Amino acid sequence: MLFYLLSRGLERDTAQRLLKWAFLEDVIAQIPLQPLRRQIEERLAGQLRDDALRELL
Amino acid sequence: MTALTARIVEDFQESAPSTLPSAVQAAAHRRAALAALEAAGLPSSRDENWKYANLRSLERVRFRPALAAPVSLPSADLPAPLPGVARYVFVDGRFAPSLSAQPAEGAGAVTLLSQAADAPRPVAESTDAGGVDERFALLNQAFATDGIAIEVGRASAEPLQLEVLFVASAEAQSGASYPRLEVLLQPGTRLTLIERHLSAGAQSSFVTGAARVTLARGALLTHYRLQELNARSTLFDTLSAQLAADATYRLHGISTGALSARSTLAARLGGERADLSLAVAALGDRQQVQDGYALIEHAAPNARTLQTFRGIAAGRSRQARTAPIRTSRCADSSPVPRPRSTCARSSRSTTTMCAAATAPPPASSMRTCSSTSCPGAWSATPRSAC
Repeated sequence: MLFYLLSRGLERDTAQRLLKWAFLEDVIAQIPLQPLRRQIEERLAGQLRDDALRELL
Repeated sequence: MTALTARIVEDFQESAPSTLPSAVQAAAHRRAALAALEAAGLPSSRDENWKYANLRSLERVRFRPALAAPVSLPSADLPAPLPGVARYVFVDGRFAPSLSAQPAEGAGAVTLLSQAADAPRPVAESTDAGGVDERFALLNQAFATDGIAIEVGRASAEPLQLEVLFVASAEAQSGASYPRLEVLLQPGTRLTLIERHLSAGAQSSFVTGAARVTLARGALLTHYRLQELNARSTLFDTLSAQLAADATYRLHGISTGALSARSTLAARLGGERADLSLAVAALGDRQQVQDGYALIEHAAPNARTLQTFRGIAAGRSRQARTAPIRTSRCADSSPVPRPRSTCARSSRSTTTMCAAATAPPPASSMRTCSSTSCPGAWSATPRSAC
């Protein structure tokens, strides 16, 4: 999967971040309470050191 | 008696059992829990269910409750309040009213255990009492200083929403924190509960939590458990759940903190069509060890469990997840599909991702029986470790 994303022009760091979030999405998507979900995503972004996503959030 | 058990007994005697609130736990229950611990000891890495847990930190902790007055935390240090959600905050196992925002009168009754009229039943009573997975619940039973009991007594259009924050501030070498949570949903009622475990400051705290959930027929509990302790703390947490017929329990776990965290779940689906959904994500970094164990018992026909686990381990951290399902013969005895479990480590990365999931068998393959004699039989054990 990583190779595929790299072959589509994504940078390695971006591709890895994308894969990690896709991996966690099965659990995060089951949280319907939006404000709580936002807090959880911020926490996970901090733990994953995903500064780009933290800025977006 | 091991040195560790001797230290627990010594700390119990130092804590002056008569000064531990009897409303939270009757003195007889505390002594019974201590006696059980004295006889059996805490789990060790030689116990199969505990081989992934990091128990070394127990060598340095004090077991007596942190008796100092709770520190005054600025509200700004806590997560932002969620709109429409009442908040209860406990610091080192004691209620902190100045940080809490209690709900208006509604369908639910929230009681602080320290102010309860009757001493509650011991947490360990309702599950595999005395079993190796219940020992930390016994520790909580012996030392608990406060907690919260939530009972939802009548159905309402909108589910009651509550947030309970357990903040650890004491240093592990001076005292421990024993958060305690009891939830009872009467028939047809609903509750959304957010339970957070977090730290105030950067000290290494020792937290031993216990929770009991009882869902009556048709009740629905959506339970978020967020473990956000700092990276020096240690957490042992035991949750036991009983589901009656048509009850639904949606349990979401997000574990990102603690140097060492062990979460134990014992769930009994005792009524027909009881439904348990378990979704857990765990992120570890550096030397964190996050270990989850869930024992799920299907004791009635057409019970259903759906599990999803996602773990990411970076650096030298470790993730483990084990979740056996035991099906009674009088319940659905059709085989549970083998869980999908994957674990991959990139050759160019220090990050490992682990996943495990089980899904229930299709409805057409379910069988029922009316026997009341239900010796258990093991049917599936999803396991993931990296």
